[in-house]
Amino acid sequence: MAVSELGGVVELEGWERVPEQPLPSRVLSGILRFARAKPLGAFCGFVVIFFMIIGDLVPETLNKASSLAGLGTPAPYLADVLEKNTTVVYPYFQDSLRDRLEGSSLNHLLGTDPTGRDLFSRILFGARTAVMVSFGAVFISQAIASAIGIASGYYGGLADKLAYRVVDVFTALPGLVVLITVLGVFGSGLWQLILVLGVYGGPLNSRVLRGQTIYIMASPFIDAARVMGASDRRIMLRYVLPNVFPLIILAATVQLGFIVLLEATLSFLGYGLPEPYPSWGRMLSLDGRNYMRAHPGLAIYPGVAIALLVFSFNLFGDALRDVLDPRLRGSR
Amino acid sequence: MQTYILQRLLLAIPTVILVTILTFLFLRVFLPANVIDQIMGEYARTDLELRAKLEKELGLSSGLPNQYAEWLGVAWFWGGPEGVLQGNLGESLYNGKPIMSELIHRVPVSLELGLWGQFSALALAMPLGVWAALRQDHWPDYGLRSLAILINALPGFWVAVLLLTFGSLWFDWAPPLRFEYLWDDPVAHVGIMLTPALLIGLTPSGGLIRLVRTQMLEVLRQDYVRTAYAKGLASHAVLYRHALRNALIPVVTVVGVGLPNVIAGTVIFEQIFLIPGMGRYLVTSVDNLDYPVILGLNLIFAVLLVLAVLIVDISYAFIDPRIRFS
Amino acid sequence: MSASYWDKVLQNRLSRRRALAASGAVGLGTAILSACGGGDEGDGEKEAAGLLSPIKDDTKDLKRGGTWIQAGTSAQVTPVSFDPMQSGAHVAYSWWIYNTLFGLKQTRMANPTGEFEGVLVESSEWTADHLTLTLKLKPGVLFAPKPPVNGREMDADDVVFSWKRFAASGAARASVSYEANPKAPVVGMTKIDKYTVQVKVNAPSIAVIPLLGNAFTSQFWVVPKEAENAGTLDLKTNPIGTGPFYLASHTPSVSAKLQRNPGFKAADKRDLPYFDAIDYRDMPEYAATLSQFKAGNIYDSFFSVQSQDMLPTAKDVPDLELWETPALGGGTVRALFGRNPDSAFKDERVRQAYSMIIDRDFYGELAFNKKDFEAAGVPVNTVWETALSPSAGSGGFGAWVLDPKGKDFGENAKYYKYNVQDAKALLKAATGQESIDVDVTYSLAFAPVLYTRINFILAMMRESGLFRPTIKEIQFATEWNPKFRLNKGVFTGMGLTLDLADPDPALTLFSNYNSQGQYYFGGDPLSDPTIEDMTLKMLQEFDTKKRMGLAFELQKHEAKMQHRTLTTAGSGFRLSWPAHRGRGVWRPDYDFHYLWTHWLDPARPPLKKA
Repeated sequence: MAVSELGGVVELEGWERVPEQPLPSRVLSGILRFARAKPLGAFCGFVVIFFMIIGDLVPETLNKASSLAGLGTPAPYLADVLEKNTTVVYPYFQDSLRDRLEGSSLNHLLGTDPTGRDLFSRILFGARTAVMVSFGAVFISQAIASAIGIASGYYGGLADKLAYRVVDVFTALPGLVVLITVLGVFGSGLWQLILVLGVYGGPLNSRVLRGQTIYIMASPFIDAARVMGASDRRIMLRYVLPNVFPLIILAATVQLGFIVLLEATLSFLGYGLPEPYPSWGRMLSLDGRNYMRAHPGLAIYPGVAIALLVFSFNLFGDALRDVLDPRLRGSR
Repeated sequence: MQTYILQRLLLAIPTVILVTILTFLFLRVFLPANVIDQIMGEYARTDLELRAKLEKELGLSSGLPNQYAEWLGVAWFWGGPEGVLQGNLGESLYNGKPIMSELIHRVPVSLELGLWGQFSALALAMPLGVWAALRQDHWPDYGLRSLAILINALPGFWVAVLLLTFGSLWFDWAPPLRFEYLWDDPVAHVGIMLTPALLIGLTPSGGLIRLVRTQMLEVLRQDYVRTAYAKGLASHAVLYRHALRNALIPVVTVVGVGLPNVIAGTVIFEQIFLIPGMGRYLVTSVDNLDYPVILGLNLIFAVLLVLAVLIVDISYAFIDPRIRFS
Repeated sequence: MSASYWDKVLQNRLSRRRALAASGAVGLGTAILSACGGGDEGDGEKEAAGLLSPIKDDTKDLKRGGTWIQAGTSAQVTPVSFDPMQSGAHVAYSWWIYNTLFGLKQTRMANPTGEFEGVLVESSEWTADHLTLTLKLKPGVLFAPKPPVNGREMDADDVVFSWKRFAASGAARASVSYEANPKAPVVGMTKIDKYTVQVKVNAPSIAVIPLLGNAFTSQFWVVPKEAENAGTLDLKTNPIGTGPFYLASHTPSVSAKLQRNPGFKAADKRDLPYFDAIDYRDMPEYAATLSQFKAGNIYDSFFSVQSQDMLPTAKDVPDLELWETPALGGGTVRALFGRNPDSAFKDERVRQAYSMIIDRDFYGELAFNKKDFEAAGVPVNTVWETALSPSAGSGGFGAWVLDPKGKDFGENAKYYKYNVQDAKALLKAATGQESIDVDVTYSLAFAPVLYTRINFILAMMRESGLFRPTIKEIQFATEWNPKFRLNKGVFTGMGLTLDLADPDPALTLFSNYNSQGQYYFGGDPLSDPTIEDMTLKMLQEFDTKKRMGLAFELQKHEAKMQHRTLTTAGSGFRLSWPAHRGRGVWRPDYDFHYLWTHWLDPARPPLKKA
């Protein structure tokens, strides 16, 4: 019997090896099963994807990466494409004072704001900031959480105790209070917000991953890998990480909705994104608040957008949890 | 058991201290603008003489470790001023009022508001969650779960502002202008706290409904419940006497741990409903860059949080023997 | 009511978060009115006459007593410091608690003249050479009955001490004190006897009395001499003055209670104030102030109802009375231009181009809700601002502003007219381009009104196609002040800020246009020698008519320079409960000062439910 370096069985006399299905088709069949089992959750998953698309998550990330590498911004934005090709989508900063504070019409689907900017377009472009902030912060947060959780669960001992202390301190920091303090002092911008929210959430999410890591560490295949001489890093990345991945996904979906609400709350208190970002939270807290009586649309539509996005994140996450969480397997 | 409690208590202290050091460093070292700018207004960066004088007056000129030691109250032991260890949180840099006396008035208010909020969340979530569990996978379940998630998705302040605006517009309603403390006018006090408490409880109730539902489902699946049914107990007896109590333990945990965060989250509602709690005090002091107050408030919040976690951990130990003896 | 600096700074001082509520912009009131079941054409016509309440002289019905309940933002009610000589959002308190030596002359049911009268001063006399001013103080004016001052009489010692303190550390000392700024007039004050003070001036200047009377820009309030020692009396935390009210109690972030000061009686024949107390409530949330005002729990609408909600609220609560303020409201926005070598605005043609792409009539429509009010049958008047705003001095400037639309202005009036074609040509001639990128900087410390109106300006800039603004929002204390406001034009691009005026037009022109004018926005380093000359001459011209002539000349000349460009003033409206009376009777009737002369009628709503 031939055994590969990592303990995977390669060849066995007399046994026929069933080729493993390629990853994409496994994922696809998994999604279909999910959709059949949890139709509502799947639907919300599509809504999430919809927001990701209109929020231009992929183009924005690509562009940011390439501009950091000095290659400019090649990826096209869906919102820009829509703007150029349809009459109902305007540039989000385009004023038209003569058309200010209009109600819904064929020209302006949701009306206009106090300087004549089209509300529908601003909500559309606002999806980009909402999606960027939430996905960005969650990505950073989960990355940090995984690093801390897996490493401290793996190594144990002093490093673990130290990390635990750090996590404790972060947990002891009162969330909104700290955020207000930090943002109030340093000012707020898109990347500051993403960083602050991400770094703050990181340690908080690491506990569960640490617990799961400790659980996995007791498994025999970890011992087998050690015996094979696999390095610590390899074990953590190749064995532990894939097994905690479902938990990361779960935590991420919950966090996504939370971050969107948190950003809205911060904007409401005045610590959110500044001009010119068309952030929903800012729209609610500036125009929304002042025109609540005179032109309620300005307050209602961004609020609905936020609620819709968070609702979809949460419902999708819920359905996902029902499927993925090993602890709930029995109670479905 | 005692060692467990002692252990946790001892571990909690360095955590709190670390929090204060972090906040202190952060506020004093990384601040681009500071309190003197605020006081001096337009000549803040140009009148250096006055600036130096004010810095000295406000105790901002000695070295950082010194300032921290003074604030903590460690310096008192060698003749320095009183500090946290002596129960003195210092004074506001602006109006000179002692922070501790301010907090004594405000902390109970915010705590109370937070408690009422969690309580109303629980009061709403329990019956709905149980009902959803009992009708699992039928329409009431789907409907309630969706409703719960929807409620969770609404920004609380948005609902509050909508309520204020349209309550005023359609019903000529406005919340009471003046705040009354519980001991001054209990009836008015309850009236004042009612609406914000309900609204504060609204968002977490969504999550709680789902949690109660999940817990109930898990418990209902247990053997002892099946046994109880088999014994012939009526379903409501099974429910209340056996299932509910066990289902609620983690729920209570979540509520308890959530409490300090709810306190932090009352900021917005205090602002909208004009309630003089800690949250508003914090926001005002961050705006004014009033160091001692920000430090003091962060300390109090941290202490409350750590206490809450501690209490939960300890009560876990009481309830679950496995933890006690680990 | 005049749009003065501190009115606006009051609202929100130092952080971005404050620029949340905005006023001065119009909602589509008619749409909402019809949605709410009102406002069809027939009714509109009939309501027109009844919608505005006229200002009546109701002094004969005067009733004393009652507590005035007012809302304010956190920055105002819970200020950083109560020290009146430090600038800040607490100026409301200063108006109530302290007095200046002089004040704008109060007239009854007539527009203000712009003259000054003594508030603490009974009589004043210049020597022939106009270098010494002898002040006779009013006897019997008492400080507030609070320790350590305990209601003792104010006398010359207090005035002299106040001067010393002000000259040493007052925020605005460079406007007044020669020691701080050689272009400022007052050298010193000395006590002659218990009620006589002698003021020495370094050069004849008409600015002296306005400066000693201008609460907003010079902040020279008379404080008790006990304040010399902060241990005895710390004015930062315990304000004590001779004003009509005193601070009885203050709960941070909640409210302040001010009581009537019986000691003020000797300072004013009318035996002010008429209220017994003021309850000043900290209410940062607009929805809260609006709903409380509608419920009749707070009485003042200036800060509690924004202008887009005025008509809807008047409709919602029929008891409320809508009235027009005697003075025009200001356009609020003033443009500052950077004079760095790389700044396009160094060239006056670019500045002229900017001025010409601002459609002043349209701006007036927007800022003063012309459409909505006129649809409800209320006429709205707008007037172009030049180097001066007719709204300033609480309306006292009216006669001093030369109308660019009139025939006397001359050929430079064209720089005020909306003309994108010519603007484009000017821009092209100056920069070679048809459209340029500009950095527009502003600070969000200022009032929400400013924020709304800045957006109008930015929108007009974008719509014209000539300017592509890049917005820079910055902090007030750390960046705006040192780099823009006090920097005398050493920056690139343009800044948009609050328009401020002294109650005296010549002083305003000097402070704003003379390179040594120590005003809020500093002087202009590349100032025009003609303007330098004119502004200085104006201050020395004691003949009012001649001075006015000089002011006209300056405005005509300045129109070509466009050093600091204003916008449009327009009719101001307020909404009040019927119990709130005495409105507009004594003028100038400006913010916070009006609480001296208004009164409450317990027989009217909301104090008595109809």
